[in-house]
Amino acid sequence: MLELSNIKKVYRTDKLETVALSEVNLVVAGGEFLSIMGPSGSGKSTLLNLMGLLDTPTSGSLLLDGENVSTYRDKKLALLRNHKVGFIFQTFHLVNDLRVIDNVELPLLYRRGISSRERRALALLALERVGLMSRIDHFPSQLSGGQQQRVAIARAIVGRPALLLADEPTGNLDSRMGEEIMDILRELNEKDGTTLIMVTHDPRMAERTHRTIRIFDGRQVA
Amino acid sequence: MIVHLLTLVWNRWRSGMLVVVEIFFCFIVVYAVLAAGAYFAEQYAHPLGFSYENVWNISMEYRGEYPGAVEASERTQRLLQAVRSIDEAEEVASATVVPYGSSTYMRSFELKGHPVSVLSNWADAKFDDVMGIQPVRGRWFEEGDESQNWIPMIINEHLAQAIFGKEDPIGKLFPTMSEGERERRIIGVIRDFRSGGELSVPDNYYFEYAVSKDTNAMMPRDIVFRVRAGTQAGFSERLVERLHAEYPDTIYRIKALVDMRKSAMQTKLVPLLIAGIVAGFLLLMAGLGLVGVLWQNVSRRTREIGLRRAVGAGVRDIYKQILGELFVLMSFALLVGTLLVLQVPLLNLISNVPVSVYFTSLAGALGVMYLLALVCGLYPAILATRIQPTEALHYE
Repeated sequence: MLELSNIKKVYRTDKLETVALSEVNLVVAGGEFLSIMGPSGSGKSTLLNLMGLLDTPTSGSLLLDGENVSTYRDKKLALLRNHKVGFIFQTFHLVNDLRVIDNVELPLLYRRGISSRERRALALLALERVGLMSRIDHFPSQLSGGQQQRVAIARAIVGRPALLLADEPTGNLDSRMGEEIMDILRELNEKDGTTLIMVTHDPRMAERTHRTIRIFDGRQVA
Repeated sequence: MIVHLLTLVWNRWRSGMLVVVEIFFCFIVVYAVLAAGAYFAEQYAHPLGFSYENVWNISMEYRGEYPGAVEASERTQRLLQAVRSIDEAEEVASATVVPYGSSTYMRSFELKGHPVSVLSNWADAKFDDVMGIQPVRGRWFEEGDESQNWIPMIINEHLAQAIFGKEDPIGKLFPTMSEGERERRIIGVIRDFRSGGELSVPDNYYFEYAVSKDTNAMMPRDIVFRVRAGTQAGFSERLVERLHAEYPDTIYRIKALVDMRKSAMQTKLVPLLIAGIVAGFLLLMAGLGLVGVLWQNVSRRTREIGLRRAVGAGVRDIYKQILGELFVLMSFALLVGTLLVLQVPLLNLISNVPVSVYFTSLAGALGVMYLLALVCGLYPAILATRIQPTEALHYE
């Protein structure tokens, strides 16, 4: 599914050069549930951004489904993100002025050749998967944190991506809600075969994944 | 996408209301200025009906008491003769109302139970030569017309159409304007005579023959004369001296019609120019305000824009999103504005304005406002496209 070879990411300003990631080599198989752990500032999110095609590596190659995407430009990356990648964020990133159903439909707005009726049907299916059918006309501010994260998961899976990236998805939730979210993620992985990569600080959550890698000072240490 | 834009704008109506109000008032001002401009342009396109090049006017202010009809008529003839005596004058005539002057005479009559107003003038047999007037039917006044037992009249096409429709008005009687007056008979039709100038409204107009033995003969007020092409203004002092020699009890003012036209145009166009400048400043202010609001809007929505980019929006999609929302707000304000300004022609709140003026200026104002939106939305939209999703999603 994903193959990272000698990935390096350097952030440069006029006076400073910061190496965020160095010599990362990683293969993620299709249907795998991988967790990434490491202290704050170690480069976990940078790695996740690279794998999610939100950023490009300074050097090295990144293969997504066998396609070298490390040199792709903005338009093509946006298209790939829309079709193949779903994102779940710690702070949900819902658009507060859109109802739940409209938030979930958002990725499909940028997919060509899909009618509004199909969009709505897919969004309802996604919301059904996360058990939020009763909240479709609510606004995010009317939902609990756990419910908001479920909306974010519905938004991430609405386009049926093969790869789901979750950046500390339970970080802003209490343990019970965190477990609920983790259950949903596991179900997506087990039932749909969705490849999942999750950044987490919580060892209990990491234990529930197939494999854990650790990042320290921008390097993969385990 | 349009439904998404409408939904978003609807849900954010509080933040968009200020923009809507700003655009609405700006549109009204732009529309008003353009409507005035279109109105004047429409008037300008109509035929003037006379030529003002190389024509001069002598306006006369008599300071004595009215000496009677015979004396008035005699004075007119002597003054006309005095003007003819200078070498520069080719044709000389008298009239009560001259182009670009300040006076008008309005009379009215009843037609099929409705009052019809008409601008009136009194001119002699040479007035058409001086002013370059060419009748489209019948003829101009001739010496000897005063011997008729009716008053000869020349009317413009506008008035002919109003009274006679498609019938030929030549030889027909003019409707009575007041009891006891001699009857008037139409001897000619002219295209028009817009004494108010190019920016005046085309209206009903008629000439009566000024040379008559009528007991109501007025003191001469204006003499117009055509000079040879290229004649300089130097002759005017000599001419005033000559006129004074005839009648020193009168003040004579000599002006070229070209200069009178210039003043008349300025009188009407300067207020429009000022209004245009005010509207321009208003547009500038509104434009800067719009840029500010959109800029702030983009900054406030950094995370949202980053999210859109993360879920697959390309640079063009973000561009369309920002401009699209602005166009939705703009369209709402302009829809309200359009409905409001359409009431003016629908309720006929201002008379004598052709419908085309309203629609031309409406189209123009809508075009200006959408252009403003495009120009003002451009920079904030470009800023939005520069937002990197990785930075935006960690932006607090």
